[in-house]
Amino acid sequence: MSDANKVAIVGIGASTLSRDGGRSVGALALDAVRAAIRDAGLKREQIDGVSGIYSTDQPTVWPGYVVEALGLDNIVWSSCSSPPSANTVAEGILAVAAGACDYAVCYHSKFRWDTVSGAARNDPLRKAPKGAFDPALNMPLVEPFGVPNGMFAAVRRHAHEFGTKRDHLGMIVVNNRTWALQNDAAIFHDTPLSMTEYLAAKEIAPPLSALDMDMPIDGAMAVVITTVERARDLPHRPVVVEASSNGIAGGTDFFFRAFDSYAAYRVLMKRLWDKSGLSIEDMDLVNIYDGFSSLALEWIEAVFDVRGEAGGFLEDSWDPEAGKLTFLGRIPMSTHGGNLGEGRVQGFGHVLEAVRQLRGSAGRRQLDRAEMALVVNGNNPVNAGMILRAG
Amino acid sequence: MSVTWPSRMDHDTAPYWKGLQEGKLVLCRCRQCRTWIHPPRACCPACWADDIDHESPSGLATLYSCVIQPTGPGRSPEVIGWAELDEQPELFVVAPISDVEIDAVPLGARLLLELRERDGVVLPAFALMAEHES
Ligand SMILES: [Zn+2]
Repeated sequence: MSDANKVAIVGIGASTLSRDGGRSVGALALDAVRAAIRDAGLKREQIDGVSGIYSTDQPTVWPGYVVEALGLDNIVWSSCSSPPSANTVAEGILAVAAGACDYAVCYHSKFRWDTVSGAARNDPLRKAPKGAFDPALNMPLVEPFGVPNGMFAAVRRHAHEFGTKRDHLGMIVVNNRTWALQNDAAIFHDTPLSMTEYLAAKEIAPPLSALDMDMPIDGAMAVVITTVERARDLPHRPVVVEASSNGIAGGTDFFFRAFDSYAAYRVLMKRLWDKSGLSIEDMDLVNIYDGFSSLALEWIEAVFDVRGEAGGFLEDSWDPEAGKLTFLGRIPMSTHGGNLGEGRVQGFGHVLEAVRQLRGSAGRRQLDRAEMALVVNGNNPVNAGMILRAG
Repeated sequence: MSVTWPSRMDHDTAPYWKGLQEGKLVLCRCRQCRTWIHPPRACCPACWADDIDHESPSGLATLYSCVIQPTGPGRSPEVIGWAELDEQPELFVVAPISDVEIDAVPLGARLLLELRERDGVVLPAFALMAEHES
């Protein structure tokens, strides 16, 4: 299939990423959206689609806020979706592909609410709004027990069934933290992490430590999407979307049945490979979601088709000297540092990094060969994945 | 007695809470195809029947997984288990596991349901079964 009917990412933008940027969650979104539109070489009048992540438990803003604040007065398509970030990018891809709009800007903005840490709790500017997030209506059943996190139970089960060890999670964490050292924008750009330090960290949700959990930050990111045809008139080499998919399967409830993520990831991956006619062998980079290192672990199993064998697969891919993973002898993972190293914009960094690498603008971490990248975000049932190609 | 839980109750979950008040764990079960359903739902995921009954399971279960849950400042954490009921694969009740060392939680262990009062409400919990019982 020629590129004529395809869509491409033509602009990327980000706010600063920091523990306290001195800017509101709304301002961060506007920073990212403006940067992405400028990067695409577009005028605000040309933007006719806008999508964002919005959810009552998320410190972000809905599209109306962005439209009003930036005077985007020509919007014919808009959408809200749940995290992760690739979800809103996928929405934009579909809207442009369907002809619902010509130039979509897709954003997500994260912010440290007072619920994320003691420091945030003492900041009067960080109060979370009242209101519970209970999309599967089950929370009251587990509230008496402190709402235990089913994803933590899932990694315990994985370890029990497959012998996964902390070292394996450590390879994922250290890989991302090592790559973050080559990313000046990363929250951990100057804080190396060794495997010894990782293994010494206190397990706060065994087998996970705080190092296994993505780093809350203030930060926003955005992309602009249009057709490949229109992209030819724009300044950057387009990054073409070869396929985009979600995947939901089995138990989807975070509280009761968070054990079926792998099944959901396989649904998503099968669709990506089937639609694109590509395989993992065609990828030069995989940016794999790491909200928790354990989520990355099961994504790796699904992406490389190694269910239950992630431990051995990671060992085979691990370079202890470099502190990095290289899959199948040549494919790096999350060269920006992932959520664990760059900071938690819930997977948006994975999209932007793929675009940078495919454009050839990743600076000192630019890969020698970067023609095709896989991005996967999220867990079950909120996720998205895409295959991107240098156009 | 101050009743703290549940924070919210709806048409689907009311029988669950009412059962606990009466000292029983009752779960949804499809009258048509006999599938057990938990958390409570108004429709059977297997056959789509709306014909939902409420029954008490045997209380026998296996520990599928768990988390170590903080309980508040100055209080020791507790083990919250995913008890896979004998009635059906992946039929989980999420509840505390009584009297277990947090460093040595045996996944795969046999469990027995017990109901315990907590903050003025009867709630499910599970105890490890002794070797000879299992
Ligand atoms: Zn049924």
